[in-house]
Amino acid sequence: MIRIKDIVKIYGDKECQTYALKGISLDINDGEFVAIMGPSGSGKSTLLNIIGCMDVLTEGEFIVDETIVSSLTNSKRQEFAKNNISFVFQDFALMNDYTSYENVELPLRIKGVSGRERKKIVLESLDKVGMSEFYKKYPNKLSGGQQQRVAIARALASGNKYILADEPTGALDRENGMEIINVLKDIAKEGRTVIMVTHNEELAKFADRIIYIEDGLINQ
Amino acid sequence: MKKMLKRYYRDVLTGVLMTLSLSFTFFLILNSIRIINLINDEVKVDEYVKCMYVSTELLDAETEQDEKTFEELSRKADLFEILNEETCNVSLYSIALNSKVREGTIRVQYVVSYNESLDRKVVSGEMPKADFTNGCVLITESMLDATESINDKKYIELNGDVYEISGIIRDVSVGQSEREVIIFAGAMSKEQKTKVFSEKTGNKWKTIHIGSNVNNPLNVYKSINDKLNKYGMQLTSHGGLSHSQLEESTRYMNSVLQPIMIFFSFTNVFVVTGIWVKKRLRECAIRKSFGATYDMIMVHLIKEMFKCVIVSVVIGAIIQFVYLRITDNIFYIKLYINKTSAIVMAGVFFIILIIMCYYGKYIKKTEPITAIKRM
Repeated sequence: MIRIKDIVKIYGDKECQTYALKGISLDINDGEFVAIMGPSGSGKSTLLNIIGCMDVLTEGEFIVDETIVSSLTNSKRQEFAKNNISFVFQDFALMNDYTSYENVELPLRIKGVSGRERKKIVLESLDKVGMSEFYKKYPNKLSGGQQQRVAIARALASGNKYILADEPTGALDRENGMEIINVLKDIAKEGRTVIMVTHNEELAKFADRIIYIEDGLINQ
Repeated sequence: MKKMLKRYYRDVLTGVLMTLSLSFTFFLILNSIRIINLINDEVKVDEYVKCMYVSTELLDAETEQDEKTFEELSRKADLFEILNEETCNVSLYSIALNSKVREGTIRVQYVVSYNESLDRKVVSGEMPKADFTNGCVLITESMLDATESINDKKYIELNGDVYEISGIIRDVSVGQSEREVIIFAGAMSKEQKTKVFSEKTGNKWKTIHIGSNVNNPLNVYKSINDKLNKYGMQLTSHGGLSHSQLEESTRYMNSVLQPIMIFFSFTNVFVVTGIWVKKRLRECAIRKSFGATYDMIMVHLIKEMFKCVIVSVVIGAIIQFVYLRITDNIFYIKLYINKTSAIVMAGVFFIILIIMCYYGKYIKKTEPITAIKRM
């Protein structure tokens, strides 16, 4: 479970400060598929960065499964993120000079998983997203939808409980976007928590819950 | 190959340019190591060989020295061409007196040096001269181009002095001994020597071909000596540049060329490494987003960088080999794998490591999500 209590994020120094988040409180349950929506500059990506441990909050508390992540040191926070949180990006963030297989096994290599185990997990993950026959292909040989599936397979392969998706359908057409949302829904049904930032209201409706953020605050 | 270049350098053209750039850098470094080693080797010995010609002649133990006149030898062995009978005979006698006798064999040895006006790779040196006749020399056939004819006599200028030529020693000699060994070293190319040798002997004689390399004289000396040893023969005398000339060339190398090579190499490596790291920032951001620490990313990059470096070192060494082959016409390469080489190459790798750590600041600053979105 993710618990966010009155988090504030300020950018800049004392002379020129920007409040990206102005006191957000939020609880996300395990296995939930949550969509975060809001206009540009509302603080959605900042919130995602904080949940994903890519950024630190200025004030407040951020707790994940009894661990007070906001009070961890930098290195411990990185370690926590590695073992609990995976990302799916808008532009897929695949390494174009590595095959789909090599892209999916990246988080496993980072975790130090053995070769044989890696192979098993990678192929299983690719199979779940329907991309097992494309494991030798390079990203530039795949369509946008296929690349995003590979990216999701990578997030799955890491085995992490929380999957953060930053505009996962932003670079895709409607049909492919729907396919991706369905994949994310299936992942959530298996017990993982999926948090998705999106501009697309039509797709956001498929989430279990939609959270609207505006001007650094949750719009109730 | 294309995939490999893209994998390590992110695009093919960059990969080719960076590999060539690094290879040229390592060619310069390897060449510097080679020159350092050559100079170190040469400075250790007071005398060394620049170029030599060796022939053997088997004599009876009872043969009188003075019977071995130039004329007789020339009739017997077609070794020499007499230009001045009077001075030539005396020249040979002087050489015979100075040479050592071992097991019934007189080794006629001398060091040939070439003038730079011949447009060959030459340095100044000593010529065999007759004690009883001043100003006369024996020259090799290869030096004929540098001679001048005045009043039916031939002259050559060496080391600033003019000498009359008393005889010409053929570049090819045909031995009369049971040991059918012919060695010739000179400024002729391998093809020319083979052609002349075939004409003279009809391929009946066993040969050892040795190239001359005035930039690598010690190796030439050692190599010829090794080959002669197999036939029970040995080089016993040599001569060459004076120590002061060696010191001068060493000073020149150290003061002028070395710093330029090192500066160029360092700058090149610095720039190439920087470009290489920056081209991989997106990959680093992706790795970071999946929990890779700065140390893990740097280790991964360093491993990949060293793969590229090793490929470049090999290409640089190949370029050096081809370069030496073309410029010095040498037929063999001594691999200078010694303490100096190991220290220099380790130093280069260490410098690359430091440069990569310097550029690691870009990796540290990279915020994964922002960086991935921008790239």
